[in-house]
Amino acid sequence: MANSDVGRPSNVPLWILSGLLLLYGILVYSGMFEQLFKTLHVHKQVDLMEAMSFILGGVGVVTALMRGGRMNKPQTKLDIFVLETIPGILFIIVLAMGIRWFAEPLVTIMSDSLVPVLGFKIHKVLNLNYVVLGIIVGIVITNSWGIPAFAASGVKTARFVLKMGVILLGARYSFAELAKLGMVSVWMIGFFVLGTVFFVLFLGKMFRQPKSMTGVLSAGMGVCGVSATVACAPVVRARCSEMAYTIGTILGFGILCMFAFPTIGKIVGMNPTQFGAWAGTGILNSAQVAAACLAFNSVDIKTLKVGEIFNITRVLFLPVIVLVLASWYGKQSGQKLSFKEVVIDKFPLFIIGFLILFFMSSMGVFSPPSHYKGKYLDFSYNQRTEVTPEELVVLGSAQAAGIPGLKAEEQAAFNDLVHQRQIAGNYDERDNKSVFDATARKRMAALESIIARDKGGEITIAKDVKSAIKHAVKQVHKKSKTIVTLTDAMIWFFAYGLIGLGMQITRKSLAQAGGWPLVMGAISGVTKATLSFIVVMYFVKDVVLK
Amino acid sequence: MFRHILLATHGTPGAQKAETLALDWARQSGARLTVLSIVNEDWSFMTGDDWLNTSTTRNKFAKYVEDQISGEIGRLWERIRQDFAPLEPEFLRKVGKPETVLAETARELGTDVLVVGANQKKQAPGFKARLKNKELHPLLPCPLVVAP
Repeated sequence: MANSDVGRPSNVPLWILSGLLLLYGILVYSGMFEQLFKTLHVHKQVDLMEAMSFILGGVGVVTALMRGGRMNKPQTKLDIFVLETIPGILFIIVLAMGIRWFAEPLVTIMSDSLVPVLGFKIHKVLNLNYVVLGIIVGIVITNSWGIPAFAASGVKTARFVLKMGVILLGARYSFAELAKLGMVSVWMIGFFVLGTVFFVLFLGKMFRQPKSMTGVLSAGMGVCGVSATVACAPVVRARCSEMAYTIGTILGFGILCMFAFPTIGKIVGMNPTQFGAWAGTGILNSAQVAAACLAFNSVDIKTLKVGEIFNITRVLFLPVIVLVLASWYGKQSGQKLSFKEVVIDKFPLFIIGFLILFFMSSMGVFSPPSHYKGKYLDFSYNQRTEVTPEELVVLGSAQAAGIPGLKAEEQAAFNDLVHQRQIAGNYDERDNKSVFDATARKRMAALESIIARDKGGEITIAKDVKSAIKHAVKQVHKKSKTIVTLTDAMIWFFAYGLIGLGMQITRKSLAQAGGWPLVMGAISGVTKATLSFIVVMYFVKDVVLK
Repeated sequence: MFRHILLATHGTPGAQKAETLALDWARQSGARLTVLSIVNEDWSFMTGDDWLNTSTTRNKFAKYVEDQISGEIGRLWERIRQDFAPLEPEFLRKVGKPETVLAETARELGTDVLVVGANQKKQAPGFKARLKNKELHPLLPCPLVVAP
């Protein structure tokens, strides 16, 4: 069934993939593509391209040699878990590389060139970034040519890799964010998950559907889509047709949401917190939440951070829902579930990994402790933290001319910036670290206040002055290299995982949708998405996200 | 008239018409009757884009689906056994793409005719999949009869 064998496919595709990777690495190394990469705006990634091509190409060659030696021999655990999965892993990574470095920039360029005809940037409207393109490519492959036999085993790793992405995301939260977002998400998810489950059960009764049907549909629509269906179907004794109806409805609705949510979110001007909260509540499938958040904003991961907290909260509700449905259904059937079946078997272990990384990060394993995870403030007095000579001239002229409306502390901070050419404590106080640091923080707060008041329309400062102040503030924000590496890895993990998951969405699964389950699914799904939209727009405000 | 009839059925109203037709022909001609149940291979993809569950939960789901399909087929065969008495049809269960499985089975058994039901507006229960004539016809080694 779901874990059918795939045998041992030919080695030829793996040789071809490895050869292509090595050839690409050599061509990039030779500088042949330099101009092309500049046109595509990916020239800063050349080092990564070389490293990935040579390492993955090398892994492919070694695997092909080992597989070649083991052809026609019984499969061992090494074959099943390593040698047979690597070809598929390389296949997805090559797709991800192609999408990130060629397809996405090309789509952007083409979209820009169509502006005179269309009057808008189509890639912005449809959110055609690497995440959405990856899922589309995955869906197209699986529904046209099908997943190639050599890649079948490797594609299954997408689930694991997505979980790894969420675990790595754990390193990007601060205590304050997690506490605040966690509280909002528990309330919203609790209300909407339980509300949808009971609403579907009510609809089932109204439309006189079997209990097993409404049970499995309520879990899917309320908690986390197909995952909840898989978890709850045996509990409510769903029939084959009911499972098929539910999965078809959920997949179809989920895909619609994945494309509609980011577009709607941008049209109404949601901020990252609002969109993350809405996607995390309204979209059924957890992978689609991640995809929608990255589609909304793939450069800055603020949206993803919010969406994933809602997502994780929802996943934690899964055992609760299984328990609710088991008792609801069990009343009739007399069926009883053990604690292990409900809580231990259904508990998503990767959330523990997420929490471990969060605690490691909070303890300062990846960046200086007591600072924001991944970014810390460096007020040291050195050349690196200075503004540029041109900016200094701009700031000096503005100081001479005077900026109307500045408060005393803002004016003082501005004068100090011009005087010192950077945000730092007073040079004479550099031996007393706490005084030096306190002075610098006070200056930074005052300069940030100038920017904020200008944004709010309280005062008006020239564009170049604002840019220089922003640069000065930015100069003291330092990024942890470990966190930057973890974040880059996470983005690749999500890209990989979502391409792989796109390959699991088959047209035939979608075609199962129909009948009353589709009607009930559409009513409950649209109701949840609409109500959560209203709640988010009116009650969820921006939280401190750095 | 016929020596060996292959009947493909999943118990839907359309397929039940095929069952009746095959039964009549088997009775009239004294032919062997083989009843084929095909488990659609697309069930293997029905975990969809689930990525949250543990392998234990997913395996449990797969086992559950298998049991459900076996149960449905078991009930279908029992009904046919009763409806077709005193005929003693043979029963066969295979997994795969319906068109391919039908052609392969007809070839393996050397059947004279394959009987299937017509497309119906509503299909239930089980997996919603229709036979594609374009794919089935070139593969078939024997005549195909679609019960009206």
